[in-house]
Parts: sequence; structure tokens; C-alpha cells
Amino acid sequence: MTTRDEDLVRDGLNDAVATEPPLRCDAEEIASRARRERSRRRAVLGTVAATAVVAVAGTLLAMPLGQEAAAPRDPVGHGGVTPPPPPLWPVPTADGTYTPRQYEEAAVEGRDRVEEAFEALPAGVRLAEVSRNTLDFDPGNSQQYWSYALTVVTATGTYQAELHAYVDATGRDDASDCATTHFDPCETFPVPGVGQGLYGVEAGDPESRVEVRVEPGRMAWLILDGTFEEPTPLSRQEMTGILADIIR
Amino acid sequence: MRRHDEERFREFAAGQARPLRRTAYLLCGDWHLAEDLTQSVLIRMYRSWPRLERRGELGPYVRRVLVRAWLDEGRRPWRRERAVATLPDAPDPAATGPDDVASHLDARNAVHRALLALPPRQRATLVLRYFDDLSVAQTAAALGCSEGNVKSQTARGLTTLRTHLERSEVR
Repeated sequence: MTTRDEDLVRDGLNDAVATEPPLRCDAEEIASRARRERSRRRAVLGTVAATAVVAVAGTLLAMPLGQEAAAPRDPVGHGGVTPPPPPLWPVPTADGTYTPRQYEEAAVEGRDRVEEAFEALPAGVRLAEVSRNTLDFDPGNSQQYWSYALTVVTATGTYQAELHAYVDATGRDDASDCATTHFDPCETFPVPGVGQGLYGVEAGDPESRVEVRVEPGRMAWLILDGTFEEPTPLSRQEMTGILADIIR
Repeated sequence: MRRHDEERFREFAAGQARPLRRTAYLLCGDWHLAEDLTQSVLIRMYRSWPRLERRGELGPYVRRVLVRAWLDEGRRPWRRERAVATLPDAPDPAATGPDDVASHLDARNAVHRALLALPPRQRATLVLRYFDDLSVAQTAAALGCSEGNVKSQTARGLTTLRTHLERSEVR
């Protein structure tokens, strides 16, 4: 390889784009398309949004005064000007359960979000594979789980991970493995704009785990299998960022 | 997205659309596909714009997204292209698919023709290094590989490129 080779490539590549056709789209059109796609995704996810509003309103009305704090929040502070981001998990039907279609739409959206979350991580970390456990759906149950198996590649190697999301239409929390004896210590920390996080590393069988709870009955967690040489292939911050993107 | 973020995104998209499309064209050899890739990449950037902008290093990052989008495009059966051992002698008037893109380019673009015959990773490495002028570290970040890997892909890509060019000159 010589400097002449490099110059030849530079000149050749610049020549190749010297006669380019006019650009068909502009920045405004791209932004408009992005907004339309976002609206479409919202529409797909919100198949029963109207029912949900009625259900949530009914629940709130039924609550004793002073319990409104559990109502859906506006974590990013848009106020009444901009609608909040779409919920990942479909709101339940009036009887507090989920239809197969609602479940499937959330599963597809969840997978997209997993991929996007990894793209936002620093260079050198990538998602080599993601697959979904399709046996999770529990018809007629207010509690649902979505599970994904991930293969993560970092500068230090290839690691397996599991990502789970959980929702309970009745607001019941799932048990925290992090807070049990599996992980000692289990560190609790705030996740700004989202909720609360828990982080633990198991030393005996290297594994790091982050849980993010948005509100009662809504949480996601990521379990990353490390090695004795590299027990925490991703930092707490990186793992939390992934979950915040999934469950936002 | 807030108004300020939206304005910043528009500025970014306006500044990057043309350079991105050029990079995409060098990778795929088809201006229409290059335009599609550019749009889909910018739309993906829009989805996470406030967070990405906070993180910085947008230039290398957007190229990383572009290269991935292009590689994904290549995995679709109807878009699949293959590296070839020898370059085609002359354009094939019946050829219309991306597989045949190299044959459409005239002799003036011999370097680009030779580039399109390289395996995708080598091609992407050379484009990012010598057209986008990314450093070895930035190219490694964009391709999600080590700097050593970028150096070896660059060396192999240049050697193969020179071989292709010498063969085409002999004919």
C-alpha cells in the first residue's frame, strides 16, 4: 500500500460522485416523514386507546382521593403542549386483560426498540442477534411478560443476555430478583424521567442485572452473562439506558 | 420533539443529506437506493434525535447507521449482491439489478467499479477512510470493529482494488 494508492482511491471516489443527480428530498420532508411514521406506530399500538382512556378514567374515579399519584405521568415534562411518547405496552382492555393482537404489536415494537437502544450505545458494542420467546402470551391474564434473548458483542467478547418486560394491568409489581439474596448488594438509584432502577452483580456466576421500574405494575430488566475475566461487559449506565429506551 | 430539537435536526439533515447520499452511492452504486438509504437513516436519527445530539459525535455515528442499513439491505434476497473475482468487461444492456451495477459504470469510474467488486466490509472501510476522511478510530467506531481490523481491511481492500485495476488496464 502506498500513498499513491491512497491518492488514487481518493481521486477515483471523488470522480465517481462528481455528476450526482439532484437530491429528491429535503430536511423538512424527512422530518415530516419521520413524524408520520411515528404517528403510524402510535396508531398501530393504540388500537384500543379509546377503551383504555375510559378504563383508566374509570379506575381513577374509583380511587380514593390522594391516590392520584399513581396515575400515568408525563416524565419528559411536555405538559399539555406535546403528547407524551406512546406507551410501549398496550393498555389493557376493559376487563384488564390483553388480546393476542395487542400483545403481538407490543412484542414487535419492543424488538424494534431493543435494536434502536443498542444502536445508541458507544462504538464497539453491538447487538449481534435478538430473538423473542413467543410462548410468553398468557390469554386472559392481567399480567404479561415479553422476553428477548440477546447476543451482545463488545470489545472484550461475545455475551448472552436476556431482556424482559413486564406489565400488570392491575398495577401489581413483579418480584425483584435483584432485591433478593441473589444479588448482594442490590443498589437502588433514580432513573431520571423514567422511574427507579436497581442494579446488582452476582460474583459467583458472573452476571449483572439491572431492573427499571416505571410505575407499579410496569418494569423491565436486563440480565447480562459476564465472565470471571469480564463480569460486567456493559456498565450500569449502559444497561439502564437500554431499559429506559425499551420501557419509555 | 421540541421545537428547538426539531430545528437542530433539520439543520443536521440539511447538512448531511448530500454527503450521506454520496457515501451510500459509493457503497451501493445506485443513486436511487442511495437516496432511499439516506432517507431511512435520517428518519432513524430523528427518532432518537435529542439523545443522540446530547451524546455528540454525530458524523461518525450517522455513518455507522448508514453502513448497517446498507448491509441490512444487502441481506434482503432481492437486493443481494456478491463480490466478484473479476470485473465485467462491458456493460450488459439487459442488466438492471444491483448485482449488475458495476457493469453500468463507465471507464472513467474504474476505481468505483473496482470498489464495487470488493467484499462489503472492505468496501465500507475504504469509503469511510478515503472518501469521508474518517480516522482509523472513527472508522472502527462506525463499523463496530477494532482499529486493527480497520487497518487490515484497508490494506487488503487497497491491494485487491489495485489488482482489479491492473487487470482491467491489461484488457
